[in-house]
Amino acid sequence: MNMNKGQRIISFLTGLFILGIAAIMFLDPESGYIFAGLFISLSLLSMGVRSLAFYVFMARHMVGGKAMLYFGVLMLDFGMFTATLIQLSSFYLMLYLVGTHAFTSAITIMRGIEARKMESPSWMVTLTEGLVNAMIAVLCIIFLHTPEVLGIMYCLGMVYNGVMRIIAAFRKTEIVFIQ
Amino acid sequence: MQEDFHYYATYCAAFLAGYSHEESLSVCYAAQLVDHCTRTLLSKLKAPLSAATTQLNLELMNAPTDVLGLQDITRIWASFHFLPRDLKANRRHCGRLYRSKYRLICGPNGPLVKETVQLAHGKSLAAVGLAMHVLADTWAHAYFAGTPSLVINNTNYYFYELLPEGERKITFRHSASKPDEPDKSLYTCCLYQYNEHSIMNLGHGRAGHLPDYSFIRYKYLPAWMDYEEIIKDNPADYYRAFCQMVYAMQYLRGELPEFETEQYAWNTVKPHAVRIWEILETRRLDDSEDWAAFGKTLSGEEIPPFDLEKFQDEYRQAAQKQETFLGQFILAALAQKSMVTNQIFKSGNLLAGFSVDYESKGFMGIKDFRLLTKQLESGDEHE
Repeated sequence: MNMNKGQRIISFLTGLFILGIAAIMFLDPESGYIFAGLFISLSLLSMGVRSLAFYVFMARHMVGGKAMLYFGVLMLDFGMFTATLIQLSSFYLMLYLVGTHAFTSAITIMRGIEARKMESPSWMVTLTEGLVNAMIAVLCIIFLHTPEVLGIMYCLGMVYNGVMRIIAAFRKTEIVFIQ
Repeated sequence: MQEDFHYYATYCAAFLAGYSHEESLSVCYAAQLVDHCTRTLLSKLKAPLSAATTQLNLELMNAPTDVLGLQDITRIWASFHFLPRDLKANRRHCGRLYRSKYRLICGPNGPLVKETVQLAHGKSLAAVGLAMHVLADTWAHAYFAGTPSLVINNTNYYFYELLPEGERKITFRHSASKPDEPDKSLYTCCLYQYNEHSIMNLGHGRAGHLPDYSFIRYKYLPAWMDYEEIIKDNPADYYRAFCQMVYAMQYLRGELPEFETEQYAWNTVKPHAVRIWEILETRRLDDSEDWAAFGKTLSGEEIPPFDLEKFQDEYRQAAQKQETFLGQFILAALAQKSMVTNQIFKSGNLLAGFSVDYESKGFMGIKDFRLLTKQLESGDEHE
């Protein structure tokens, strides 16, 4: 994604926050899972509400605007579901987090392939990010019954994500802009 | 539109309207300058930054997209490149914000085109050139708005080029380095950004350079048109733009008493229609050579290539900067921006920011615009 200054700052701060969550998970896995779950839940809920509001006030007049409605409903559902999982044992929460991770990595891989088809210069970074995340998710599933290894694998995934966001904040992007 | 039309074609139109070779050069230079007069350039010249008529990619990428930032972007692009067609357009069952953006959609022959041309009446050749750029762009950039908006400016996969042998699907890519390939209908466009106020959603970025190519005819679904198809016939639109420019410049020269929309100098252009259509319909990304050759056949003189540095030293060294060519261009730009912002504001639309009525409330706001009030005091009028 081409980012302006504000978005770069947000990317940097989000990266730092994710690294913070990863550090907490290393030191206190129980609290770390809850933080991660809460963070994802609130993010999804916020995304869902914003998408729905945008659809109601603006995008319903747009060609293809219904996609915003579906996206908003989906995010809202995922957000509420994630919130309910926080009350269960950490094993199920971890399973859910790994699943979400795997899903996100699949989307990132698809975006990378799409970007490659469109000859966008950022395709390799996007694809690599997706592949690494997918690999971590697969390893988490392999070590599903070994909670300690699972926790470490998941933390590594979060560290990778956090570092990528920080790098993205400083990366120069080739802009395609039509004047 | 690009340099081939804004510079060379405007020269030809100016000459056909009755301007001399030198006058036509001044007019076409100013018309092309609208695509280069950025804050970076004005800063280099120590000129008023509010006179910026365009923004560099870098300026746009660093531009804030909060309320004030969006207003600043809209003021520039709506005033000079995407002149709104109908500020009172009605759109039912929608919110105020959506309606405001809908009303900024650009198109030819709106009331603001008349205001733009009349604003240049009795003014410098630089003002004439600036008005011609704005007028020409209303044809090329029709159906897009000069404000970052996904819901107005977005396009989707439904894009087909209309060729004599039939339709061909247009493929878009996001490669800044590779040129467009008309033979394969392969063009570059801006990346899809789901953020409503992303800079990628400004103007016709999502349609690539298609509106700026005179040869292309295509159909697509504008985001705001409820799945109705638009057929864009660029050769026909560009021909009308050319004829309307000739008509407008005949008015500005004093040959005609009034400027009205939907009027064109068909008869003046008719003897050259075949040649002009030939240029417009040639499948080539840049028609500068052909237009330059046509201009030479009209006037017998060479049209020098556009040189951005041409008047800069004159401006820097002048004591009375308003008397220089760039000084007059800057005044014209300030006047145009002031007029369009005022009209948008008066229509109840806040997307271009606030505008204060000078006659009733006196001077308020950006101090660069004091140049206009000084002109008013010296006897020249500005909106």
